[in-house]
Amino acid sequence: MATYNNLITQEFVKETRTDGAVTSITIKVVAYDGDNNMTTVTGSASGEYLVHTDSTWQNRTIEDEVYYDWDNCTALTSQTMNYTVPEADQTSLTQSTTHPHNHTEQLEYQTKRIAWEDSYKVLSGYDDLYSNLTTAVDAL
Amino acid sequence: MLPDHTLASIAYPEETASWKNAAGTNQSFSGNFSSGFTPVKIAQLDTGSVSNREVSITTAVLQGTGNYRTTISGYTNQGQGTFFTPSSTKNMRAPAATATAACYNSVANDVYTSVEFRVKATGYNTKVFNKFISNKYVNAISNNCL
Repeated sequence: MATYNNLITQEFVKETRTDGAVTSITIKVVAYDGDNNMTTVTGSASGEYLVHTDSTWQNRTIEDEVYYDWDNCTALTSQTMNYTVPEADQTSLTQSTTHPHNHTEQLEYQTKRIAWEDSYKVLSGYDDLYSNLTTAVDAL
Repeated sequence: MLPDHTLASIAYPEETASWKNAAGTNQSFSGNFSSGFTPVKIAQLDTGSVSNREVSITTAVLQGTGNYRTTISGYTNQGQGTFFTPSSTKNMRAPAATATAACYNSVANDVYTSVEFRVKATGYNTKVFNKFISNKYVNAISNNCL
């Protein structure tokens, strides 16, 4: 069994859209060895957005804050689950990354994202994600 | 963790730290996020006459997104599963739950972590003698993008 003193887990959410609307999302949890093969980026004054393959949402960086560059970190193992978005929680709105932002739309999109998260995190499959991830790490 | 509550357009910063007692009930750590928390004693191995007595400490993130802040001093991260001869108090850290929200982002991290202690000695089977579960929750919602 491999040993990890600094096990890092990260959760990614990727949207799948049908005719523009978000109809399902894929939740991926990934384990990393925080002491090895991790790459970071530092935010600058221009506030770049971080792009990750498994994440639809792009985090805007804050100057001098250090962030993991997940696409360039070596994963130990991962687990995924799919969540079908109920019609009431579907949206065609997307993230805005340039000024000026449509404030109302961005808050509405945020509300949808929170609703998805509140829903999938209470599913038994979500608990299984992490227990399976732990089992997979233990087996390495 | 030192949260920055001064950034503009943060609508909802919230954080809690707790642990579960033997009955499974949440207990609050004593202290706060700015000045730190008082360690909770979770296992003690008394000296005895058994020879080659060794212990191991294994940690795992049960659920959530967490990482250990290795820059914090005064804590000992024992090798995962590596047995050693106990000689003094070992302080363990629970992983940090981090949430950074900017430009309409919403982040909630609910991290559960286990610390499992095992003991062994010559002539005896290895035995788990305590398991500790901690929980850290952090939530940040940005309601604007400046």
